[in-house]
Amino acid sequence: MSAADLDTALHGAAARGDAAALVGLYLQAAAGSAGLQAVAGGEGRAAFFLTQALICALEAGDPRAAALRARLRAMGREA
Amino acid sequence: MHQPDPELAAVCRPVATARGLPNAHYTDPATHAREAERLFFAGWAGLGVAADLPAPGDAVPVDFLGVPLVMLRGRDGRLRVFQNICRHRGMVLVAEPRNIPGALRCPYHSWCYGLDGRLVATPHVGGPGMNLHDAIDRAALGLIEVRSHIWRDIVWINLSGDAPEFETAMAPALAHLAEFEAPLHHGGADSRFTLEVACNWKLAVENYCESYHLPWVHPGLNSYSRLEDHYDILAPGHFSGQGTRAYRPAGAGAFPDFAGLAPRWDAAADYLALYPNVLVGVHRDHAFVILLLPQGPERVREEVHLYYATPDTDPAARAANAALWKTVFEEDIAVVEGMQRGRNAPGFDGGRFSPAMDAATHCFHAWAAARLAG
Repeated sequence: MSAADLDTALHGAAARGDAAALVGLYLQAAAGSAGLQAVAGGEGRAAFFLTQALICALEAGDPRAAALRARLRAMGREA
Repeated sequence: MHQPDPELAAVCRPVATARGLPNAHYTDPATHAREAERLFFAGWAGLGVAADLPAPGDAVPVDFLGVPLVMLRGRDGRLRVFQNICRHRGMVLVAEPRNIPGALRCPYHSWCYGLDGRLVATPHVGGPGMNLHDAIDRAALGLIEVRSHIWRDIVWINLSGDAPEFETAMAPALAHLAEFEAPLHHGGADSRFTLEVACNWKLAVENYCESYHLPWVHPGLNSYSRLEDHYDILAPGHFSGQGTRAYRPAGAGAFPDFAGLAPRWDAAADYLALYPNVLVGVHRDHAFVILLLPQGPERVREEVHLYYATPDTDPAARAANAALWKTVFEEDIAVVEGMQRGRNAPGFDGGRFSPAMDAATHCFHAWAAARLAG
């Protein structure tokens, strides 16, 4: 998914209040960023999207929250 | 040296010579703020009803005399009350009643709280993608909990946090209503209504706790509940009200009685104003509560809830009972709003009480005056 398509999809999911879709889309964005880890800021970009996914999952009671928190914790970015 | 306020001292005299609270107590914002501190925040007051939060995750925000609070039903089933603000920038967290399926997220920067108040997420607080920072101690930044207690389905709070324990502070009321300590079943959507009234909250209390006005304001009661059938209920410093010895259930037999009541309750009913803002009515076959939520010095919201002894009462009978009480309470609006307008008359001295008929109102005024003067 291109960055523009992702952006459109995020806007749509947010407008619908579709938390499950938001979690999935942010995970996609994080996966896309992971490939950038070799370049400066790549991990930070992925962590940003993982954080967005975590918050959406937490608010919705989505069971993916635990794994997201664990990934961020492993990155030293979450308690 | 502290000089006693002569107007408040006059309120505390014996009923035959006392005056009522002066105009400022009904119209003046500064006096209203003082009443909020002394009469509401310092002791136990009613905030809402637990029946409004039946499921885990249910959240109900309440503006409590200007203080944003929220009632939350936790995953553990426990109902807690918190200040309805984020510990980050003070943003109000819950704007409307709703169910929260997961964490309570601040709509501003998305700090998240568990329904038990713990701060569980601080996204990007250490920079983008970094959710930790040495300066942010999540354990110390949970929601600010307000002391609360549930009795008769009413969510009572002590905002100051330093009032005596609920069971101690409310012991006289608990004792008076001990016979009615039975499970209460809210009648549901057909058993609740709200009245927005243009009067100071105290006028609603005053009107509720005396029977003097009944023959004139509620003429429908004259046919079976005569003025002489009523009695005063006085617990100085705690509550006052009135009762009747001529209660007849509407639609006799429509609702089962509460178990274990003494024979006197076959035809009796008590109507208590539990200071400051909870009005209770108990009958053998149903009960109600009216929560008075001041909306400034000259407006009050009256939230009315009806309860029964069993969960499976007849819907049509419940609706009829709620309609009956709504009619009665609406009949009171003209007089309390009239008294409110009357408080704009310069020089009104608070009025004089009937020693024979106004003891319950005087009891309430004396409680308020003593707390305000202290």
